[in-house]
Amino acid sequence: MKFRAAVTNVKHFYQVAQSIEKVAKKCIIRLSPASIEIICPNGNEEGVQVWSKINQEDLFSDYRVQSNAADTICAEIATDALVQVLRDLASSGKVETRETVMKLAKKGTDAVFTFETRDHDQTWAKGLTVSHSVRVQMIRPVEMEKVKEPLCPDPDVHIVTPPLKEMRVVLDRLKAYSSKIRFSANNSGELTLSAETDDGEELKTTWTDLVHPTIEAGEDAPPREAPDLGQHFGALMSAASLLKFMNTAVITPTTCIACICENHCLIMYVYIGEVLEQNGILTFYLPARLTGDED
Amino acid sequence: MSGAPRKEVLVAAMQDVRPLAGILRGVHFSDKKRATIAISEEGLMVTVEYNKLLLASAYLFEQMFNEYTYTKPVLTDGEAEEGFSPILEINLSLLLSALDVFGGAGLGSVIISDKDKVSKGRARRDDWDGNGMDRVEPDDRKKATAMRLTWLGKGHPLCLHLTDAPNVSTVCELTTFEPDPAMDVPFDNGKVAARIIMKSSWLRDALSEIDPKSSKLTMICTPPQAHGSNRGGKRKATFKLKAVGNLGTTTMDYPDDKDVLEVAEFRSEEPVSFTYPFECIAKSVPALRNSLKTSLRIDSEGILSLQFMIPFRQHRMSKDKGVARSQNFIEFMCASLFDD
Repeated sequence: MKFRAAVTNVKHFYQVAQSIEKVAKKCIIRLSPASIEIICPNGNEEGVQVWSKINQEDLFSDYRVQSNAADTICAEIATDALVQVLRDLASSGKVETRETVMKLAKKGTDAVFTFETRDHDQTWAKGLTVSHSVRVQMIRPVEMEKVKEPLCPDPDVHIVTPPLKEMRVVLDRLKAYSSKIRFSANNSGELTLSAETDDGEELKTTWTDLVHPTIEAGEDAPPREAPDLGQHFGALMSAASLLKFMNTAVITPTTCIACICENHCLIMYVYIGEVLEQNGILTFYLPARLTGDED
Repeated sequence: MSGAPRKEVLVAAMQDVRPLAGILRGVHFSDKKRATIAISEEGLMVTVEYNKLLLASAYLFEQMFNEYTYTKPVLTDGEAEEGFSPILEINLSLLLSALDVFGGAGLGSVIISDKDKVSKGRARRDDWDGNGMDRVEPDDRKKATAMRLTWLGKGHPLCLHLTDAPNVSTVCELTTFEPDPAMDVPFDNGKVAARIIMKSSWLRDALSEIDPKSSKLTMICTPPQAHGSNRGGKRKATFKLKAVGNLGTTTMDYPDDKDVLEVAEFRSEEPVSFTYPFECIAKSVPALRNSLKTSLRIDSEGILSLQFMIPFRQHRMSKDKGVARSQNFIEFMCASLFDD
């Protein structure tokens, strides 16, 4: 089992780790020849799961991974430790002359990811090397097979959201009305966030002129009836889980696509960088809350 | 609301909610979330009570709005009552949250850059910043939130429509409640024992010096005639604040100088001294921050009236040709404590 790669895009790696840290204490890193996946499968107390997949070329160069399980390595790591290391890396030396290598190593009986940074710039501490190790828990392929991405029905709506920071401000105010927020959208560019108090006070914010991405239907997908474009599909969400998700606004630039499976869940695709660059996607699954009197 | 079967009792609109939010914050005390709103041709009066000790009202004159229409509701018995004005009760916290839905009312939690705080001429000791008045210059970082408020009348919710960009809008419906009987603070305008007008910053700075845990604040107003120049020594201050806290006693003297006390009038030559719960007076700090001048009056029974003048940019001329209003105000009324 071998892994070694030069980290070329510390900024993106750090931003991804920061986003994930907000959601879960631990995550699984799955390294395979094509991509690095960062997964929080167990969800946090709000049941939010993250499944992210980043092309290895976006973060690394000289990327080498080898194992008996289709050259794939899975390890569990504490997200705060990862964030701390990446924060240090992001601030040591200069981006232009810095070289960081990440590799899987052994420290005593523990498996660790080590991050070694050297700066070629002679003025920077004359080639001093900074090394960090983070302990990881290796996950065997058998165990990894049990970790499955949640199954969701075909979403009723796909929509490019307003900037997450903008939605976050609104969400903060909606929270004063209720801890449950209704997230809904239609197929003609509208997205609505609303909350209602027990006394019947309601606050409702609607964005219009949003864009719908073109989604290729799966081969086996049954032909859907032409939908009523104006019909809103919604899910009742816990404000806390939405706020946790909105914190991923740390990734810049970003585009976020929301998919609503009515009264079931919200799937958020957060693109790292521009969508067309295809750097990678963080996928957040946010389960809907159920209420007795809901619909 | 076009095509609504009945005409709105109230329509009030403005292009930037900051002045409104700034004033409402001056009467927003966390313990009592409900506020009454009295609607009249002249404007709105928003009133809250605090612990049955303090009555605070914000007077919002119609000229501060870009649009203001009040249509007298028709009473069920068909007779228009003289001087009748509708009063409704709403949850003030929710109203403030709605006004700040786009972060355009400066309620905090939306980041105010440090640079901004430092670059302002006046040193700021705390975080009450972000009202509509201190920042007269357009704020580049945040677009203005425009508001349109409507009320169809008794039994209907108070509706707000807010927007800060062409493609986003917020609708808010606030349930209106039957107001509880208002607390009565019988200030006697005919028996004003002392009246003082000063810059709000003078009072605000003094209040911020006082130990927040102090329980009582004594206001001592001494007419110049009572100074007794025979001693030849120090003249007594015309206005004095004295707070007793855990750590000791704090006193603040305001000299009888026109630069400090623009007006100091007394009904008699006797000094006026009354004590008030400090927590009530301390509640005025957000209102003070928003205001330029403060008028302080104490009647012969010790009832205190503090009026904080808050100028606004006038958007419309008065309907009647009377005095054009250019400032709103917040009034705090508080009865004195009995002497120990």
